[in-house]
Amino acid sequence: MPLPSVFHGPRPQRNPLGALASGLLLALVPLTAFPAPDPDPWADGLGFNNPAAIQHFRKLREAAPADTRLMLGQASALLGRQPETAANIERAAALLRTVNSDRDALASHRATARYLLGRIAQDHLASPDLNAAHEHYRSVMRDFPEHPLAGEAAVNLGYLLRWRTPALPPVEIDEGLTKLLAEVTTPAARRELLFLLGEVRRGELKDKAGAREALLSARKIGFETPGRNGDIDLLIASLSTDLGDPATAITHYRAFLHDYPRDNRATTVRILASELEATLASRP
Amino acid sequence: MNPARLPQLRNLLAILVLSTGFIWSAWHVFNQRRADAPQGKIVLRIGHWLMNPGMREAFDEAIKDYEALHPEVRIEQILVPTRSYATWTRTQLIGETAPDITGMLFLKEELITRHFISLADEVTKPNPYNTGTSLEGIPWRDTFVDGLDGSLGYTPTSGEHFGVNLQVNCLRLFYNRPLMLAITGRDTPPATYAELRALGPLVDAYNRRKGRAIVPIASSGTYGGFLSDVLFSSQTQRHTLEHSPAGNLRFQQAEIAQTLLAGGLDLDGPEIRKGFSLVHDVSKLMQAGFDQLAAGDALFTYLQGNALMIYTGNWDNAVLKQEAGFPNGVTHLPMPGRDDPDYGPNSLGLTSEATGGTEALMGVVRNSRHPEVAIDFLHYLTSLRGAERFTKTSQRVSSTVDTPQPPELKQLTPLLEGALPGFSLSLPGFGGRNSTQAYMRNRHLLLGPNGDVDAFIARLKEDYLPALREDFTHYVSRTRKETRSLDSLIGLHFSQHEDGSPGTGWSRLVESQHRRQIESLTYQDLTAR
Repeated sequence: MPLPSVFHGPRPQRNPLGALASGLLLALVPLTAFPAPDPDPWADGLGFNNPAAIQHFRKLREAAPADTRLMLGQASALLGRQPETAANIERAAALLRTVNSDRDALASHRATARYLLGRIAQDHLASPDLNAAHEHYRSVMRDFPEHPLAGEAAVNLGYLLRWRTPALPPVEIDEGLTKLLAEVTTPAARRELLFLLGEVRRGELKDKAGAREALLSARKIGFETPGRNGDIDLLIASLSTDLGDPATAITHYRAFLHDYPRDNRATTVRILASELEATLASRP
Repeated sequence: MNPARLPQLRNLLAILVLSTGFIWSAWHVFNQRRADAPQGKIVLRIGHWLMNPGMREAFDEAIKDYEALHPEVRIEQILVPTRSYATWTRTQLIGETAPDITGMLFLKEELITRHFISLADEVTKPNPYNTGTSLEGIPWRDTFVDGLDGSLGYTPTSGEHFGVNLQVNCLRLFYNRPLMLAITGRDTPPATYAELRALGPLVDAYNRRKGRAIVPIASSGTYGGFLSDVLFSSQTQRHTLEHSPAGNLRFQQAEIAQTLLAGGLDLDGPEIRKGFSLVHDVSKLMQAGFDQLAAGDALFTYLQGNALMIYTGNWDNAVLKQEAGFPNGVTHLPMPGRDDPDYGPNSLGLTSEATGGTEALMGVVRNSRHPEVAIDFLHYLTSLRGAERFTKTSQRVSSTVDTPQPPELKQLTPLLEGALPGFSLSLPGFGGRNSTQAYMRNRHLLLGPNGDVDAFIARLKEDYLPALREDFTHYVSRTRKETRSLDSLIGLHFSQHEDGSPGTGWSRLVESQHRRQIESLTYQDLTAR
């Protein structure tokens, strides 16, 4: 049987570079035997690789455009994208609004979206919209009271209260923070509000007794940041000394020494505690 | 040959060369690691900048000991000079070719969290190599002198540990013992501040007798800076005790800046003037123009026998021992005591060196093919047994607690018992570093026999304070940026799992964010408008 006519006739001009390109492409075929691992945009974002996270979220969303979890993830990654741009913030906000308005979305996702919308309004806009922030935080607390971020929303309301412009009288700030505390049950959020209350009383109100009361409650809950418990112990001890309560001061100096024996303040703290113990011992 | 075919032959040759090059490169890339790794061996690489005498040898020994315990492992050191380390690490990390264990010198948090494995869980567990020692059962984190607090300075936003440090630095006064004997009649160092000051006239008298030009203390820009900060901060100890803004017996850099800018601390204030006066007094013992000299110049002056003493860190101990043609003594810098009529009232005494000064932070990179082995080697290096051997060879003080120190290192071990530290105004690394630069470029007005405290203070008011406000604005701006970036991490934590539950560690991130929010809101009124 004769060969097909394509093999007859003059030899076609071949482009050698085209042949090289084809050869190189063929050489790459073995690489497809080792497929890239599945992208994990959360790992990317939590590792500060937001460009990769955004890209992967986009890709995943092509297959599941209505997935609110992916929208929330992508919005979060956009918030961390550097350099910060108004366009990215608006894209994030748009995704969050979509999640928030989706009644079929998981309650936790809607709460998170609403909380982040509050954070955007408070801190991510060129001109902060503090009224909008307030509204979002209040709605998280009202509609999702059991969500962990409901307490954090209350803490942010505390910041809006304390640093309102024009400033409120310190007594009103104290009342407002105390009211917020009554609405919050999450220990971590209560701790932060108590710390804030302590700072207002110590700073603006010059109320050392009130400050100490708030800080004692905060310390009882306990802080997670390494060293922060120790700092609060020292502050409580200092306030107690000023208030003429050496016993409480000694308790907190000793607590500091127990937890941070190798701190470079330890020797001085030991001396302060010993001096107070001597004072107590010399009392009738 | 038909000339018409020449272009075709040239093309063919080009293709041949390109193809050969490509195939060779591909083969080389695919086989590089297989070629490096002997059959069945796990190969680890450790990259660092620690080229001081004794360090490479100490690593070699530690590697040999570890390989003896684990014959299936082979470890290679990669040494990179300090001056090129920053560029090298960045390139290696981004290219995902960094050594399994890479030192974190000069690295910023973003690179660390992206490219290194978090050790947050590991540091809560005991170091297995401490079994049978006094550190058995103790969480790895607590076996370091600073509880690994120093490592958190690299990752303030995440608050997670990504590395462990190997050693602790402290500053000491090294002295030429035979020369001390010749000049003072005793080979023991000055024990008090008065004796230190008295060395000036004694050295002058010796120089006149012998026709020499010995300086009491060899110094340089860097070493002089260390000395100035130590001296100055002795005069702010009492202020720190009585006026710490957070009531925690500390004055952080931002608090110093805020207090100065808000008028709570005056450059003309008594403790500040005394601090500058003390620096001025001691600077008269250093060579003229030391401020412009490099560290190597100071070392050279001392090693040549042209200086009685040098104030430097224990990192120079090995080179001083090996290169000096005379026996060295070591002592703490004699500071004015509490009974000193001039400087005593502001001072609380010799400062504790319990925290701070840790060095050689090492972490495991995400692209390591054997991260569990890399972490195991770090366990070994920082175990009591590993640290003891390392210390002996490197002549550096280990950051592992309870590490037996050779007798010759006793004086170089950080002083744990001591008063709280004060603060200095040089503020290294604060904000955009404008205030540090303003401080350093005017420091010559204070130094040497012609130095003048009033002239220095006047210049600081004109030059340093405006620069400080710029730095403060920069600091607050960066704090606000960190606050915002934490929103991204929090959102990712709460979307990570399908059931909406947050990932572990979210509450720590939120706490970190609150601290930053409070700080930036508290300071916002003082930023430059």
